[in-house]
Amino acid sequence: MTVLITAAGAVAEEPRPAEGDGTGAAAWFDPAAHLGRRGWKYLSPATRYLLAAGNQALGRRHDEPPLTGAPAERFGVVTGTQYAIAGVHRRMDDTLATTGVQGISPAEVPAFSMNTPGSQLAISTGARAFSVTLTNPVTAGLEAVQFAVTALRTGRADRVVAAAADQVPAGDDGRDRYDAAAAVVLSRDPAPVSGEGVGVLAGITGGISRFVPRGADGDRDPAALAASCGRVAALAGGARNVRLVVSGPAAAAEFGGAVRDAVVESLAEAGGSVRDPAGAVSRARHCAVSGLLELIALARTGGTGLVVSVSESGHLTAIALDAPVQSEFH
Amino acid sequence: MTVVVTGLGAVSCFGSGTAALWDGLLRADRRPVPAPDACGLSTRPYLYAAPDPGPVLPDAAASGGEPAGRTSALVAAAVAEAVGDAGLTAEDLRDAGLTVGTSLGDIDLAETREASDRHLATHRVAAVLAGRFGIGGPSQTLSTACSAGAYAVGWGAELIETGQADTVIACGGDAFSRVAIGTLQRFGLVDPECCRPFDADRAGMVTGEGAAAVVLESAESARHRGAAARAALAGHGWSCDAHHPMAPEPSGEQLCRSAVRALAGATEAPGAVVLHRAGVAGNDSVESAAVGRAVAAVGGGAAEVAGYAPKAVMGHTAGAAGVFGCVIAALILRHGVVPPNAHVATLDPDCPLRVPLGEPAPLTRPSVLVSGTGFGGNNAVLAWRAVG
Repeated sequence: MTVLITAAGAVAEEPRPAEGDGTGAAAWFDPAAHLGRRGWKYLSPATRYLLAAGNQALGRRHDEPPLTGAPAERFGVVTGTQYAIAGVHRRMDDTLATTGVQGISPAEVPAFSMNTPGSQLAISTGARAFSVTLTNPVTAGLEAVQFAVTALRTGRADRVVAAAADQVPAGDDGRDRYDAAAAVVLSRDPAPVSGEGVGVLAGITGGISRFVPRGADGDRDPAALAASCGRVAALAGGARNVRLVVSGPAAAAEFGGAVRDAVVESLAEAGGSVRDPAGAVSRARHCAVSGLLELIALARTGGTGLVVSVSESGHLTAIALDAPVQSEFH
Repeated sequence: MTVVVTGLGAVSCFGSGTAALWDGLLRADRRPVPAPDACGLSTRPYLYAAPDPGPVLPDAAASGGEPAGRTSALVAAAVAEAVGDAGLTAEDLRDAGLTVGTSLGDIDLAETREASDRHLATHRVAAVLAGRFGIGGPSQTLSTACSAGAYAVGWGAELIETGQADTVIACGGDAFSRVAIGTLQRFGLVDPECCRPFDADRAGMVTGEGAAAVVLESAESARHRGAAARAALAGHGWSCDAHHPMAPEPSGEQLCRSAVRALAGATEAPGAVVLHRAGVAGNDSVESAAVGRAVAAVGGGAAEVAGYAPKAVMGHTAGAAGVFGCVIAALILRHGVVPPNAHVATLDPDCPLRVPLGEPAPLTRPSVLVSGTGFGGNNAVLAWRAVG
């Protein structure tokens, strides 16, 4: 079974000067332009971004009624995020320390749950198959795609929005990182993949998630690294001119480079090749959304591609697009 | 493909280990204690507190220099027990999967006494565990609010059923959070006395700390290793109410649908249901009615199925609750009895299920349903059956 990416949507803050203090951080996004004039006041920024990207991918207006009946029960949402609650948690903790429990606004309480952006998207669109939120730092966005593909394979839904949203926290934790949300619509299709088919951006031919532990010396275990990257390369099935994108935050630059080198080597051993084997690791500036943004860019480029999202903790998730092999999941 | 459980682990208010958990459930007398003085709240809300789990070792290599918080430490203790129980070696773990259900992760890192000490990397529990145990396969953290643990087990089974892993450590955990307690209090969702889910006068939930873990394995993998299967997963269903960010949809239609899917292969009603039931009256009623309809649809009356609410004696453990439900289901199947429901002065007259009180009740049929619900209407239901 092949899974098709039928549409995509994204809203992303572009890198801003480093001296910015973050106070005007949301100026890049106008909620009214995406969500209309009412109904979003009490939604967190990450939720607003997610609704905007999700609606864009689904080609719907925010005020359209949600799905109902059987189509709703066959439609799911899976969302990756790492900072969905960071801002509101900080604000509430400060409120507790100063004015106490009574100072907390009930309207803001739902924002204090990692699943609320995804749940609001599910409510808005009528997704009743499932609404799952994944929260591994950095890789959660691409994990959402892997989760959606698996759920489509096991028949838990016929159509899934795989999405990610993050609002960068204030202060040092947010340095050189930016707000964003992205979404892809995935559906099952037993027909052969055609990248030129009407309404199809790309086919997903495989995906994998791994963790590379550190050895006793504190470095990534080389055997585990080689084994995991071998599995990533196998997703491309020895294809030539594979577009390989490895995306990771600054703190994972070394790990990302090692992953890239190992995937290139494994592909070569299988008779395949990478289009730009000396390419740099792409900087993941949009937190857990980064990998999904790379996937969308690659899907729009066409051809055989591999997107690998890596975190400084050692997680990696890879998704293969349009590879000339049958679907494989390891 | 059949997925079985070959290892169990738990840390709860009863102490470390599944033996302490089962003993505490049978005693059915545990009540919460005031939160520690240093909790940072002006009141000291009640809490079913877990013992100090000690540090996660070896910590530096485990998390790449990031500190591990209390939830990571609790879950690591539960995973260590489950891995030992299953007899898994380091080699077995190299390609094993890891699924972690947690609502707030290591939230203590962000709730420091001094605001300047706050650390926002709260959701690295999976990374800490994978590093600590050398678990190299697929690794996800699921945060579907209070059903996160039920989803972690269900997703773990999906990884096995689709060939992405032969073995998965499915676990969940959450620890004390002053912001969580504060927000629940603000919404009037906290019972000031204790958690009493089957009492007609129940007044809300009481939070609990803890972590639980199960080792999931394909039946073939367990046979190959010579590992004893404790229970087999007969089915599991997911659904979303798509109704409200906090409240359940009143008809319970979607929760019922996920329970029906979990029971799709069953030929008789389960012997017991480990309910999510947390003492929030409206949610409790929706759940028991929905689950009651689903078990009745399989055959027999809902009144022949024992309903059990462990949160009365261990509190609402949030992301751990669904995994605790599965551990408790396996223990019920092993011992053939359902622990008595605790803290019931006047029995809730609206529950369609039989409610064991006073002493353990015999399990009349060898299968147990586990129900998980959460904010956002995130429902997951798992059906377990005895093996052999």
